[in-house]
Amino acid sequence: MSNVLDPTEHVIMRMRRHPFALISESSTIAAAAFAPLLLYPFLSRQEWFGLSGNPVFLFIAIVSAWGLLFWMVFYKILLDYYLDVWILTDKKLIDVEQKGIFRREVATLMLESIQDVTVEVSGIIPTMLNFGEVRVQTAGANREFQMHQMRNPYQIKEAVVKAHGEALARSRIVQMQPPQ
Amino acid sequence: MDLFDFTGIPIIPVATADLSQYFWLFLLMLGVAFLVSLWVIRFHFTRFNYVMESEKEKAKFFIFLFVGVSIALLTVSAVFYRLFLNSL
Repeated sequence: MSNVLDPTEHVIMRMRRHPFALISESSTIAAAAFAPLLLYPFLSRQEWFGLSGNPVFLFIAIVSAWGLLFWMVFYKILLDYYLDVWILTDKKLIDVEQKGIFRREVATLMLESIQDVTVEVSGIIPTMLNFGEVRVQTAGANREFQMHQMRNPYQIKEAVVKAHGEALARSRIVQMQPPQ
Repeated sequence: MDLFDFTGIPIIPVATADLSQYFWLFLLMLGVAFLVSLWVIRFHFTRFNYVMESEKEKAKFFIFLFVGVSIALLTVSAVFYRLFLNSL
């Protein structure tokens, strides 16, 4: 974050979505990628396309090419997952959200302006795996930071609240210092 | 027949050629798609490092994994298609 962070600023925590989000998003892709293997008995017949060559070779060639297509799609999902991140520093909270291949939103929130941090863990799997939604409401503005399927949401809440308290305390000390 | 001897096999088949020969065109397009994807992935992962200096190694790993698996799949596909043509 060299472009966004002050030289004196320290990163406290980096937060991403739970890997379950990646797994659930890519499970459809994986199923589609491996589907031809289930169809092997039907696709590998000699009369397929009326060709006389070894159908196993053609089948492997097509399945590999098919797999490559889905490998590229999987990387698009991975890119989206990996580049969505919250960065908590001792001065601000930065929300980096990848919304498409060439669309990214980076929002910065000063810790002093945080008003409310809400955690919502809903469902059996999120409860078991400890992930959920985290919302950070700012004072004054309507802006709300929100990220779904965050891992360790309670830990995130604690860290944000603690950093917020420390930032407020620091700003009070600065205000109390007499002008020189 | 040499495995990598592609002479005499048109990439774009003539009207009378076997439909299966379109596969070379398909592989060529996949290769181009791979190069474009590589550029996109590299662009994002390296640019993103301005945010995540400490994660450079992980980003590098993702890029190498992508390149490795893609080239392996592309090679397997081309080799087996060539073997298939040889078996005709």
